[in-house]
This record gives sequence, structure tokens and C-alpha cells, in this order.
Amino acid sequence: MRTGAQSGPPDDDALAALMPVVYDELRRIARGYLGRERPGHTLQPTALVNEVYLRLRKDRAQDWQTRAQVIGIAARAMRQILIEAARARNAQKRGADFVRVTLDERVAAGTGPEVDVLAVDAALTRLAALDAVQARLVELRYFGGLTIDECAEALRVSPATVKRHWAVARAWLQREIAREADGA
Amino acid sequence: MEPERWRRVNELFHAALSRDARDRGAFLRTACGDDDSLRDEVLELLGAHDEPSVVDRPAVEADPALLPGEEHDALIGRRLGPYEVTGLLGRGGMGIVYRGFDTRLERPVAIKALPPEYTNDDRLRARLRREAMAAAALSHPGIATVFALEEVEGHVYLVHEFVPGRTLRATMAAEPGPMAIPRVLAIAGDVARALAAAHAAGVVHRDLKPENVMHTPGGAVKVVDFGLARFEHGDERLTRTGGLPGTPGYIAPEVVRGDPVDARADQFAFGVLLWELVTGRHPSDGAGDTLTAARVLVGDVPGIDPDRPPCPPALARIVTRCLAEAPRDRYRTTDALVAALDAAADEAAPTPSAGEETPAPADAGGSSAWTPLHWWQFHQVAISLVYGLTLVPLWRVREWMPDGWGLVAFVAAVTVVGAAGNLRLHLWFTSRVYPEQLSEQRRRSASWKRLTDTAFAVLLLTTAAVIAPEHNGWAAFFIGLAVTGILSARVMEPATTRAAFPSE
Repeated sequence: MRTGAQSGPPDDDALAALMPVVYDELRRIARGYLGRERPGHTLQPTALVNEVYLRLRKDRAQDWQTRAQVIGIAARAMRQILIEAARARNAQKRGADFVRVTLDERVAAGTGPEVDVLAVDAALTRLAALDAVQARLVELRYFGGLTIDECAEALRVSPATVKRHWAVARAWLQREIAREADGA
Repeated sequence: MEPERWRRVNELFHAALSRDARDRGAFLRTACGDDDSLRDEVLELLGAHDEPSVVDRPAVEADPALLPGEEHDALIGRRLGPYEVTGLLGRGGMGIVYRGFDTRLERPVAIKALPPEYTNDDRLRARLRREAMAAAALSHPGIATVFALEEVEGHVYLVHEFVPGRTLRATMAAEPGPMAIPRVLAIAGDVARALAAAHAAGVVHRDLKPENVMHTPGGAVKVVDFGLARFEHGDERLTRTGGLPGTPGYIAPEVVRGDPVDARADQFAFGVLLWELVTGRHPSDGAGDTLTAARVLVGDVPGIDPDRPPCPPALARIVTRCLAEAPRDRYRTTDALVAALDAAADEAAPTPSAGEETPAPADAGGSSAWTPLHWWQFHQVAISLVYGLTLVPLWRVREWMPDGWGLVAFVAAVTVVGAAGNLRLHLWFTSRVYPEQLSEQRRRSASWKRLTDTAFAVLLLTTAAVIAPEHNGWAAFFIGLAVTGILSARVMEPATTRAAFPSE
């Protein structure tokens, strides 16, 4: 089963090769955002993802990617960034004594309700085995912060189809994660 | 669950949703027949559909702390095994770098704390260890030595030589704009020699950039992070972390493409670094990282413009070759790159004064063919010797001159010969040792040379005239010598000079 994004132009390999670049760009932009924004400000992932695209579009000569493709890559990059951060955080909590001293109550309490990004990631990987388009859609929405219409553009399907896929996928993910939490 | 069954679940889910909530149970009982697990699955999903879902809020909004932001300086003041962590040096692509002190060997060290992936993944850790061992085997004054790979309390630390001073990036930031060519060549030569030594040992840097080149206060240049800078990527870069296998702007096209990478990727990064030093800006100035990588992918890295700012053509050629899109078009070995840089340095050495094109000093290129400069140098020495030898016959003939005038003539000859010979030997010496001052010294000595040459010819002719009545053979010899000297000073020497310094 092929996803909508993959059925795009034949230069998918080139896109895949650019993935690491988008990833680093995104990290950089994200750092910039955090540097400017006040604490507590709600960060819009879609703003990050769109900025990656805008940076590309600024170049007058190189029309080497469509917006949807770049945004698709950026959403995936975002997923990796967040997963890595979550893993690192978990490792710190599990691990060494010297890290524990820095995780004071203020920091620990400041993160708000625990959202298990890693659990979503794992469930998403299972969903991809069932339906790759749905998995891509969740990636775009949950990690990339895209709207239904933006997802439709990125996946090259109608907004109605996106809505149908989203309804199932979000229910399934919630069920999977709730089941996991109960089992744990 | 199979995808086919999942499709069936989807169909039933949507079909049930389109019905009134009260009718859904009956609908599913009919539609699923005796497949209870199918019915339960759809019912569960329908139940979840009415609940908030964990994915309703984008991950970043729900947990902004996950985005890369401020890292804490947790380790400062702590002790890791034998190392005391004393301060923060910087944040690199692979982790935070601390300044530390090795209490066993009592020496300062740099400690790089690697991300947790390294402890969690056995394969990655094993590979890191192999790479660290290869890097630790490198011993070169231009390479910061890797001392140890330590695991303390479940974290991995790379301990290496502490290099005082500042990064080349800091230097470039402190002195914006093009760097003077002799300095570029000196730095480039040191970096290239360090690269060549590592490449000869089979270690590729993978992330050469001004941030990884240190200037020590003693003037030495050291390359840090050999082979380890972006170690984690390589062949599995996309599947593992998705991070960029290098730094945008220094990354070679084959790296972006995911092709096999060898020492020539370092040559590419070196080419970009040279470009930056020479011009004072980056080839993709202003463009974002993504765009830079896109350009590299399509081989669209601009060559260096040798005129803006002035850059020796040989150096511009080296940059162009390092930046070749295909690795095979770069240098076959980094030793060849070093040799090319040395040649460019020799060529450029005597040209700090604006616009003058002075060929290389005599030792350039070792046993290669004689250049016009060599002939000019030979000529200067030869004239000095001939001048000196003329004192012998002058000593001989002094007795034939009346009333002690012979001694006066001889002393005058010694003075003139000494001056003329010394001027030429001075120029010869300058051309060999201080080629950059040659132009100035030649200008300053030109009138003195003319004066002494003329005086010597006059002296010889006078002597010849005085002794001619009794010793016409000797007189003829001195006249011949004077004519030869005049010819030499007025014809031969200007000829070799023009050949050696064509631009004057």
C-alpha cells in the first residue's frame, strides 16, 4: 500500500535524501522559536513546519519541491525530533544520579500532563502496517500540526477522505494507548 | 490484524457511524455475523470516537518541553570517574562538551557527553568504540588526540585532548571579511596535513568545518572531532535519527545522496572552508541549510572568483577541485591536495605587495628546471665573484703605477668591488630568504648598483690608460674587463632581471 505522498513525482529518493536536511533546519528553527517565545507560550508545530517550506520557497530559482512534499518531510522530521527528545528524557529519568539533581520539582512539574509521545509513536508504527495513509495522516496532524485541508493537499486525497481516515485513526490510537496504559 | 481485516473494520466503523447511535449495535451484530472479535473491535473504536484522543492536540503543543531547547549544564562541578568537570566548552553536533581535569594524569581534558542513544544501543556503542579507537590511534600535531571513551553511570563520554585557544569560526567572526592569502595558506596547509595524516590512517573526519578547527595561542592549528563528529549517521543516518550526516554547507554531495563516503568528502568540506577563508563569506551565503543541501545535491556550488578578492589562481584551482561534484574529480589522495597547497604557497609567497608577480624562490619545486629567477640569482652571484677576482690583477699592476697611485687605485677598487659585490649578494640573499622584500630592496639598491658599476669601469679604464705605455697587454686586458663590465651591467643584467621580474 502506498501513501499519497509517495505517489507524487518520481524524485522521491531526492526527497528522502533531503529528510536529514529538513530535520536539522527544523531543529534550528525550533531553537529559534524557543529563544524568542516566552515560557508558557503555545507553540504551533504547523508554524515550524511551514517555516521550513517558506525558507525553501524564498529561493527564486529552485522550484524543486511542492509545498506538500516539504511539509510531509518536515512532519516526519518533527516526529523524529520529538521521539528523540522523549527517549532522552526517559533515559535521564531512568539513569544516572547526577542528572537527577537537575530535574528539580519545578522542572518536573512544569512540563504539564505527561503525554506519552513514545507510546503514540509505537502505536503509529503498528498503524502503518495496517494502513500507511492513515499513519502518514496522523504523522502530519499529530507531529506536523497540519489541518485537515493541509493534510489533504499533502496526501493528495480529498478533505472528506482525510476526515474519514482521521476519525478511525484517532479512535484506534486512543484505544491502543488506553489499552496499553491499563495493561502497564 | 491484517490490512484486509483493518479495511473491513474501517468500512464497518464508517457504516456504523453514519447510522443513529441506537441502531449501531444491531447493525454490527448483523454485519459481523458470528465474528465477535470484529464486532468488538468496531465497538471499541466507536466508543473511542466519542472520547478525546491522545492525538487531538499536536505533540508539540501538548508537550513543548520536547522541542530542542536549553540544555542544562548538569555536569559542571561533578566528578566522572577520574575526571573533574570544571566548565562548559561548547555544544557540538554530538553532545555537550565540557572542560575537565584528568586527576590521574593531571592534565586538562575536554569531555564530550554523548546523547543517551549511545548507552541504549549496543550496536551503536560498539561502533562508537571502534571509531574512537581508530581516532585514538591518530598521532599528529594537527589533530586533537582522543584519550578515552568512558562509560560512567550509564552515560558515554569521549575524553580528548584539551585544545586551548579559539575556533577558526571565532577567528572568522572576530575578523570578518577575506583573510590575507598567506594566512589562508598557512592555516589551509596545517588543516590539510592533519587531514592527510588521518586519511592515511583510514580515518575520515566527516564533519570538517571552521567550528572543528582550533587555533592555539601558540599559533598551531588543530583539527578536533576526527571521525566522531557525526559518527552516528553514516550508512544508517536516515533510519536511525534522521539527523544530517554532517553540517549543512560543508556536506559533500555524495553524503547528501547517501552514497559511500571516503576521505574525499573531507576534501569537499575543506574546499568550502577555503572558499570561506578566501572570500570572507560562505558559498551559499544567505541561503538556509535546506537550500544549501539542495544546491549541493545538484552540484551547484559556485566556484571561487579569483579576482574578488584577489586570490592566487593556483589557490582558486584547488578550491574548485575540492568542490567537484563527483569525488573522482577531487584529489585522489589528500597528500596530493597538500602538495598542491604547498605549491600554491610557494607561488604566492613573494607576492604580498600589491600586483607584483614574483616567481617562486629558488628552492621551490626542488630539482625542477631553472626558472628565470634562478638565472637572475646566478647572475648576481657570478657578477660578485667576477668583481672580486678583478682585485687579483689590480694588486699585480699597482707597482707599475707612479708614486703610490697604484695603492690608491687598489684601495678604490676594493671599495667599489666590495660595494657592488655586496649589493648583489644582498639581493641574492633577500630573494632566497625574504622574497617578499625583494622588490623593495631591488628598488632601493638600483642607483647604488649603477654608481658602483660605473665607478668600477672608470677605475679600470683609468688604470689601463696609466699603464698602457709600458704594459699594453695588461692595459688591453683591463679595457676588455671594463667593456665586459659595462656590457654586463647595461645589457645582460637587465635581460635576466626582465626575465625574472616580467611585471616591472
